[in-house]
Amino acid sequence: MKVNYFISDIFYVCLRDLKHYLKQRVRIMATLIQPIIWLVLIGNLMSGLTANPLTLKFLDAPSYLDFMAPGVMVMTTLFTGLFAGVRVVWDRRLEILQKMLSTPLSRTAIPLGKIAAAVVQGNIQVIIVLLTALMLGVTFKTGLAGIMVILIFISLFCSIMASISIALSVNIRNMETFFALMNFITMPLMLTSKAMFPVEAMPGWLKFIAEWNPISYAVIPLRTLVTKGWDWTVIWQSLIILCFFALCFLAGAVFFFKRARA
Amino acid sequence: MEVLQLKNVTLTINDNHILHNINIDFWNGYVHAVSGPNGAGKSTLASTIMGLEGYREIQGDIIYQGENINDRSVDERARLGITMAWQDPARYEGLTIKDFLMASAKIKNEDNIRDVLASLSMNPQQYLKRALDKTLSGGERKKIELASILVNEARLVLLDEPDSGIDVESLERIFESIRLLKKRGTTVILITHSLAVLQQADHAFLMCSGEIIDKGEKEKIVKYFENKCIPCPHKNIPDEWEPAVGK
Ligand SMILES: Nc1ncnc2c1ncn2[C@@H]1O[C@H](COP(=O)(O)OP(=O)(O)OP(=O)(O)O)[C@@H](O)[C@H]1O
Ligand SMILES: [Mg+2]
Repeated sequence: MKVNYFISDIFYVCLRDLKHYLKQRVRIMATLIQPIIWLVLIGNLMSGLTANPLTLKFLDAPSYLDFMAPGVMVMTTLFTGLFAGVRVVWDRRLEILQKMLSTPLSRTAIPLGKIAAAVVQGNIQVIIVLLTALMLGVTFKTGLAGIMVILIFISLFCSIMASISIALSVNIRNMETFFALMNFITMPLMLTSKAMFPVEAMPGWLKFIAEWNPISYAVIPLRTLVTKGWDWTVIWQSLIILCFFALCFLAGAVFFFKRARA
Repeated sequence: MEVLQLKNVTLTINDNHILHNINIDFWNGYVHAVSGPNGAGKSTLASTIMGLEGYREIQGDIIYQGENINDRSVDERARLGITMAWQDPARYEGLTIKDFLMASAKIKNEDNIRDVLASLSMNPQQYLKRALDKTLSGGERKKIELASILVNEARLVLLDEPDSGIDVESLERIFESIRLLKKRGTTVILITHSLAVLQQADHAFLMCSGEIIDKGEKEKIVKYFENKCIPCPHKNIPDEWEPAVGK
């Protein structure tokens, strides 16, 4: 009975955020168009620039577009995940959080429900990126089964990012601060990862950061699935590492949310 | 026996004593009223009891069922059985009324939710599927807020101006709900400056300028209303200030 209620609490929190998401037409349009711009503009441009045997060896992929598509999926997830905290800041401003807390609704269910909503959004957006990539001629070496595995990786990565966002949002009282903080985090995180550029082309210090960057753990298995095939060592290794991180960050998000003053 | 006691509770915001040395005993199972003019500090008192953000830094003690709950957070207090209906309900958007009430309910049972809505003269058929958003009228939102309290089954219920924006027929239904709560053994604290709501209480407190200035049988407090008199010098208004129009 108790477990039942806990799950339904998570469900209601998640449902509420998802309904809100689906109502924001402009935001959805923007998030749909953005990866298309990345792929069509940067992807095609760089494909032209890198269409020589030497750079293709760096990329270790059929083309820059194939190389970049997994990166764009992870970037899209990164932004969606890091957006999750916005809803906490809003709910607090509108006193909805106080109302939620004054009911029997489980306090743990609130961050978990919001993270679940972010994961669903991340999957929706990545599916759009996948379709765009397919239309642009990216071939998925592992086919439909590979795409399923990609979505598992995306879900894990999204929950990590959403957890970070929620943990950071609990003590923030206004939107501007929140966005400034998120901008501050995303750019360096993105540029020091293996998402956009091959690690072989990086200077030593950057290579070192990229190895440890959490984004890399999501990009590498995705790239393997798209451009190479079923390399189980890479897949299992990243899966275990991401699962471990996801659990730690989820626990962290719940901890910080519960510890917050409100 | 008292379920909730406030002992020398003082709340200071920006050097103003919004609540000043409040001592109240709320007896278990009674319907209490806290009355007083606008700005007296009634809603602040409710927020302090609920432990909302910004109302936690108090002097004095809040004792609930014999336990000091000063350091307890909102959700901890909610789990101990305290809940509150806001004077101005939050715009809890995104869910249908049914989902919202399910999420607020202690026992998640749809029939129960239907009964509660019907008891507030809201047709469940018509409302359950509706979104909880700005298309609801002010009075409807107030009633949904009250419904969320009724399904919560708390031990101590704070109702901040349950009558504001409510029509005559629905007001009677709300009074019935209050009687129902009492019958269940719930302690109710009504915050009001309406005579009709005050009449529903067993016992009343009169508040002015952040202080409790009188308490007793409701008849005693009702007298203040009848005389249209506010017995304390209004601290909010400086002595030298006089309205220009009257001169
Ligand atoms: N956070 C705050 N900062 C400054 N002043 C505050 C704050 N909260 C409340 N006050 C002041 O405290 C006083 C009491 O406010 P409160 O809302 O408790 O009044 P009330 O008795 O509920 O009045 P009403 O009948 O209008 O609802 C008011 O003068 C209000 O301006
Ligand atoms: Mg008030």
